[in-house]
Amino acid sequence: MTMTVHDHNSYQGRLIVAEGTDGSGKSTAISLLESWLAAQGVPVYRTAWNSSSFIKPIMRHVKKKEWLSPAAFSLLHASDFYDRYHRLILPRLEAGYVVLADRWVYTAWVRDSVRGLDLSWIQSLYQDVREPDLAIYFSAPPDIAISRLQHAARELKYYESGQDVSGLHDRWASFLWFQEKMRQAYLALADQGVLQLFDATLSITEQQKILRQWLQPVLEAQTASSSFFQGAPISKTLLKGDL
Amino acid sequence: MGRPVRTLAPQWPYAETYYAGIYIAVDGLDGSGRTTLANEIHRQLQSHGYPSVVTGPFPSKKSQSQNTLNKHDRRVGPASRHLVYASFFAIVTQQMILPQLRAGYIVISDRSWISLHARAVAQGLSDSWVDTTMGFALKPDLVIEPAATPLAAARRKLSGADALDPLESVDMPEHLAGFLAFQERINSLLQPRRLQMPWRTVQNVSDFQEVAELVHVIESESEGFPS
Repeated sequence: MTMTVHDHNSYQGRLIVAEGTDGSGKSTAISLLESWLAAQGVPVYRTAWNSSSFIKPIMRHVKKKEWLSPAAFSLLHASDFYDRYHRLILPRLEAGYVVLADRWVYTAWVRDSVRGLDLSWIQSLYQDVREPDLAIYFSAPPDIAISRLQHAARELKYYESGQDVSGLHDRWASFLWFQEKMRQAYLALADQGVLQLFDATLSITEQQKILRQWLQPVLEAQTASSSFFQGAPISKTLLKGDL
Repeated sequence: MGRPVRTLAPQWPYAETYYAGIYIAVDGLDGSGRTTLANEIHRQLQSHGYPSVVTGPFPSKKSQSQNTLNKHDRRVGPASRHLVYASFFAIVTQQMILPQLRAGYIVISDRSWISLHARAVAQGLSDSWVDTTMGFALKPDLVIEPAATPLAAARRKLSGADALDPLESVDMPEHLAGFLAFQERINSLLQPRRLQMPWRTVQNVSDFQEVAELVHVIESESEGFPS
């Protein structure tokens, strides 16, 4: 979106994206993949949606005030995204890192369109963003996601539960409605081939086995960190042996 | 009925489609005297019995101070910085401007999306992308610009601040030449809008008579759409 156009898709690093509703287990899976890659010497970096340290105080303030209309919500999350994208993610992709993203632009496509915004407008906000090498949708029915969240004894928040758009007073009922709407939107993206459908009801161990298989072809051209930090070109096969 | 809600992106999904009030944008160069002019118009309208209100680009003092901290951190890039402005202005539009317009107020935006847009593009962001980010914004019924040369704007700025804003500058932050070049850029970005939109320029914001004539125009407009 700056006047100087760069093709971020040509950067040599790899971008792996996990998408899904809250409680689908994607963060746990991403965390385990990060440890696995790091243990093998792969230069890896994990980033999460809505985690910019600069935008956080602003986000906290306006969410607490419950001021965010769908447009304001969308724009502020885009601000958070672009801060991380330009400062944290792109330099690493350019340098050859594997970036594991806990949510990507698809979260905005899904959430903001469920909030009533036009999908093409949301997509225009993120028009020049790098496409992932692998984008996985962690598919879990809402009741499983809810039981995971309740098990974690988490308190739901106003926007998280979609109360700004559902009109429902009960937070869990609103959350269930909101999650189901988003699940349908995610499934549509999986049908279109934008996201790769993944069964997130499997055990964590089974999930890791499959995910590691999925990652292997994507990472084949990456360089091991021993030579990576000496400035080696991205050419050597990285992942070897048993998964 | 009243005036139709017209947004930058066609058919933005607002609940209301008409409003009874008048939406006035006060836009222009940084340091041109927007706030002085907006407040004087508001004062005169109020004294003549017309309900009016001035809104800034931020929903609260706290959000303004958070934005100031954010924008002066050199690590924050222009896209992220602009999106914070856009988000705050979306809050102001939804929570303040639209409800007041619907209630029949004359709403005066002391810096509307027009200035925010020009500033973002002058800082290097693409015109069409910034347009997208402002899709929610209302097209004003009237734009009022305090006329100012870049040098006059710089002088006004320096009378109220220690230094020039480094983000309102080309190449040489806080130097006069950088500020002047940036304002020239803003000026050229505003030029097509001056031709496309209902636009009035005030030559001297301290000239009571000139502002009074403008206020009379707004009052006549208001009479056409009684709330």
